[in-house]
Amino acid sequence: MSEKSKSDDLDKLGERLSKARNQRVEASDKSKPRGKSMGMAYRLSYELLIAVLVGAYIGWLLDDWFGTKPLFLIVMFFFGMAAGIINVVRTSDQMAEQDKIDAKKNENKSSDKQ
Amino acid sequence: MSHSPLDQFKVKTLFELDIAGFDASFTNSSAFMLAIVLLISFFVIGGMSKASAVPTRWQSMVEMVYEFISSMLHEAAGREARKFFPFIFSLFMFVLFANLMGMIPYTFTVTSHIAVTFTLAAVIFVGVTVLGFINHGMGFLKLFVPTGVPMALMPILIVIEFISYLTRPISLSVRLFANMMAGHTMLKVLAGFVASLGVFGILPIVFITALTGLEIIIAILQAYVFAMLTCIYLNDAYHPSH
Repeated sequence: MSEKSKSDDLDKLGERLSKARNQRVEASDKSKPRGKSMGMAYRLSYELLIAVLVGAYIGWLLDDWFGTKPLFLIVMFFFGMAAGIINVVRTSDQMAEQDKIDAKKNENKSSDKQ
Repeated sequence: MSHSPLDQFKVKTLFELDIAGFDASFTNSSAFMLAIVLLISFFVIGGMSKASAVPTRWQSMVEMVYEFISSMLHEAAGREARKFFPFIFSLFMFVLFANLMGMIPYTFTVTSHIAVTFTLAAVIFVGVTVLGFINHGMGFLKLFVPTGVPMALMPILIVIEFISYLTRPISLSVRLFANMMAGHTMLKVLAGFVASLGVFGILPIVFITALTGLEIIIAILQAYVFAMLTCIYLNDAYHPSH
């Protein structure tokens, strides 16, 4: 085998390797988001629901203490809704930030390889 | 023996134990928790016992988890929170192994009980609150006071922030428990269809196979979310202003 054909073979191998690598990166990008985005959607809805429940429960406890039956329950229910919306906004902010960090990391990784 | 889809969540007493009037019986739940701790110890110690500069697969697996948690803690809570690394690492490993172990048929999923997840969340919640007061004294209360708000709206917003703070342990525990419980119940219900559909039982089997994959992703993801949120709460204990 001459020197020239050897380096040709190596070049071909390099090409095939980089192709396989790219495919792998694509595949991992595709498979990830499904479970992740479902988790995100659930997280936001729990966040909203639980705040309303906690608010209403606090109101119910206050009513029990002061003997003002439905007053605090109703007031705190609405406060709970507000708290829930704040929670959702904050959670989605966190998610957006996390996505940015992840995107940056992926960029660094792919540029490291080249 | 009954075949209700909820049967898998039953806590059975293995042997009775009574400490000062409290029922401290050793149950299947405690047995699995013990198994999880032993398994984690085996995984970590076994991987690192013959640690070398060129890691074996096992060792690099342990190192990968370590680095993952370490960078997560650093990004979310900053350098001061570094001393809580052992806690976050144990927490993540416990939840991860509990979730994954529950995916093996005939096992008991520890994290599908709100008693377990709420205990974890309550410890985190109380711990973070106490830590916040230790670090900042009364300054920790700044967490409840948003900046740049007119004085007239202040009382309302403080109440809202307070409720928002109180939801943390509940959303943390309910999220994990509901995910695990819902997933496992769904698998069992679908499995019940297999027998009753006869030949067409192949359809639910295909579906269960796909769902099992999704459940494993959820198991890992929920462990990550649990640890991640703990880091974010730790961050609040160190930097209380929004």
